[in-house]
Amino acid sequence: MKMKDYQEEIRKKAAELLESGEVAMVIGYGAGSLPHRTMPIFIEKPDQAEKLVLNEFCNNNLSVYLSRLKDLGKLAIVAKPCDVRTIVGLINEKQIERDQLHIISFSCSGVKDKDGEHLSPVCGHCEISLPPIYDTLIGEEKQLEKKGEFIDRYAEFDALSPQERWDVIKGEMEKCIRCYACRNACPMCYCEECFVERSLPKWVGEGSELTDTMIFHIVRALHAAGRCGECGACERACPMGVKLGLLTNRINADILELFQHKAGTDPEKPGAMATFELEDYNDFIK
Amino acid sequence: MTGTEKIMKQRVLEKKKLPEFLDEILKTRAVIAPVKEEDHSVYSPLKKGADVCLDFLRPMKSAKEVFFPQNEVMFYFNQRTQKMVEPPPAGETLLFGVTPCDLAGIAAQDKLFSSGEFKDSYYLRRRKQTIIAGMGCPEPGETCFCHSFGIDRFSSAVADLFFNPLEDRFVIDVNTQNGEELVKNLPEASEKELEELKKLKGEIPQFSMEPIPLEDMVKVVGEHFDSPVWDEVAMRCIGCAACTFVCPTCHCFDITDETRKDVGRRMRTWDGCMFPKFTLHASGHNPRTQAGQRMRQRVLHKFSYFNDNQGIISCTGCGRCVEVCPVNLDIRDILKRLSEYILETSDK
Repeated sequence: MKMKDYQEEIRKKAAELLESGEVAMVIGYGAGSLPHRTMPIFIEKPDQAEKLVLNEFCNNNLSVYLSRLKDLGKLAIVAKPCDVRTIVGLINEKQIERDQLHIISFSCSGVKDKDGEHLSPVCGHCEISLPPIYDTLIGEEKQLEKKGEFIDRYAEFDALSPQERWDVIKGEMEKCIRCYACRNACPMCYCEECFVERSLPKWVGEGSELTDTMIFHIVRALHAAGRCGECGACERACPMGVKLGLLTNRINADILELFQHKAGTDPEKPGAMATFELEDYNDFIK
Repeated sequence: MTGTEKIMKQRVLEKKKLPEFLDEILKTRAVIAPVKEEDHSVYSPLKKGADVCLDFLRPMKSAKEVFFPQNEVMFYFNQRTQKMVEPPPAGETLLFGVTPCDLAGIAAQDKLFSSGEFKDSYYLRRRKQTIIAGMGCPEPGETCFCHSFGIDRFSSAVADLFFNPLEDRFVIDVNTQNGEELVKNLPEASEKELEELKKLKGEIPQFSMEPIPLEDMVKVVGEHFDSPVWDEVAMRCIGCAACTFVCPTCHCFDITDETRKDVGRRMRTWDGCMFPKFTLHASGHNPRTQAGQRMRQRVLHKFSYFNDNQGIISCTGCGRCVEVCPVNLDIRDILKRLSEYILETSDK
C-alpha cells in the first residue's frame, strides 16, 4: 500500500470528525499548484474533506499551525509520524492540549524533497515510520519499507576533523539569506518573539556577516536540542538548500547518546534539556 | 560621452569561447555571473571565466542584489570626532547572464531608485559602474509566467549587451557603446546567424499556463482593500521572507546603526513585508497583525501602488516566489482568485 492509497481513508475520517462535531477544523494537505507540491489546507465543512490529499509530496509539518489555531476548539491534524514527534513535543511543553487534538497519522514511507524527485535527505535518515501517538492510524501497523535506502548523513561528516567540520558548517551557513523560512516552518520554533528580532538587547547584527548568520543557526540548533522532531520541514523550507539537519539532527544524536532521550517519542517524558536527573551525564563537571 | 547612448549591432561568440571571453574581461573589471551551487545557481563574482554556469533556468536569487545588496554599509562614523567615511565604491563590473525577468526587475528598480525627486546614491553608484549583459530565455520553467507581463525573452533595452543562445554560439545584441567596448573584437553576425536567431524567436514558448489577464485587474484591484480574499489565500502563510528575498523587485529595507564605543557603521538591510514584525511600531502597535493584511500589502504594492507611482507593475513573472514558498503560496493563484472575486463583485 502506498501513501496515496490512504488518501480516501483520510478524507472519510475527516468528514466523519467534522460531521459529528468532534472537531472544529481538520488541518491537512491539499493539491498544490505544481505537480510535485502540496499545500496546507484547513477544512471546516464535511463536504470539503474531498480536497484532502496524501502523497509523497506532503513535505510540510502542519503542526506549525496548531498553536495559532487552537482557540477554534478541538482540531484534527494530518501528521506524518515525524510530525507527531513535534506534536508530542508541543504537548510536553504545554503549548497544546492532548484532548483538544485528533491526530490522524499513517505509516509513512518518506517524502520527496522540494525538487519532487529525490527522497528528502532527512527521510533517508529517519528510523520511525509509525507515529508515537495517534487517534486514527491509517495503513498497516508495521514498519514500511523505505523507498530509498537508509543514508547515514553524518557518517561522512563525523569522520572529518573538527576544522573540516567547521568548514562544512560555514559553507552551509554562507548560503543562508536570513529569510527565516526554516524557523517559521518549524513547529518547535513557537517563540512569540525570536531572539533575532529583539532590539533590546540586540543579539544578532543586521548585517550579512557570517558570524551573525552563524549565531542565528547555532542558537536555533541549541534551542532545538532534544526538542527537534527531525521532520526536516526546516530543511525543505529553505530556498537556498542549507543543510540545517547537519546541526539540528546531529545535536539530537548527541542528546540520544548522552541522555538516552529521543525527542517527541514519549508524551509522559519531558525533553532532555527540560529536566534534571541525578544520573544525567555530567562528565563536563570536573 | 557616457557610453550609454544606443547603438545597434549584432556580434557572435562561440559558446565554447565564453570562458575565454569572460577571462579577458576579468583583467579589467569584476564579472558577476550565474555560478553553480549544488542544485541551483546564484549570481556571484567570477574567479575565472570557466566558473560561469548557464545550466539552470535562472539563478535562485534575483540580480537585484548587485545594485541593492542585502546588506550595505552606507558609512562608518566616529561620534567623538564627528567624522564620517563612506566605504570604497564597488568598482567597474560586468553583470553577465541576466535573465529577461531579472532585466525587467532592474528596469523597475531603476524607476524606483533613480527617477523622480529622490535618487538613491547607493544604488546609482553601483548601477553606473556596471555593464549589463542579458541572456535570452528560450525555455520557460514550470513556475514562469513572464508572458503575463509581455516581457520580451530575447531582447531588452535595459541590457548593454544581450546574448541569445543558438546551437553552438551566441548572437549578441550590442545595445550601447559601453557594451560595444567589451565585444568589439568579436565578428559581426552573418545573415545565416540572424536567420537562425529569427527562428529561435519565432518558436512558440511552452509556458505551463495561459497568461494572466492583468490589465483590467490592475485598474481596480486597489479598490478591493477589504476583500475577504486576502485572509482566504494567506491563511497558510508562515510569515517568512523567502518570497520577498528572492524577488527581483521587492525593495523594502531597514536602516540600523551598529556601534562599539564611539565608532560604528550605518547599514541598510533588506526587510520583508511578510515578516509579522515588519510594521511593528515603537509604540507597540502593529497595524498588520494578520497574514491576510501582509499578503494584501505584498500583492497591492506590486500590482497597484507601484503601478500608480511608477507606471509599471512590479512583478516580472520570474516565478521564484512560487518555487521557494515553503507552503506553496502561488502568486499566480492569488491573482486568479482576485480576478474571480473582482468579477463576482462587479456583477452585483
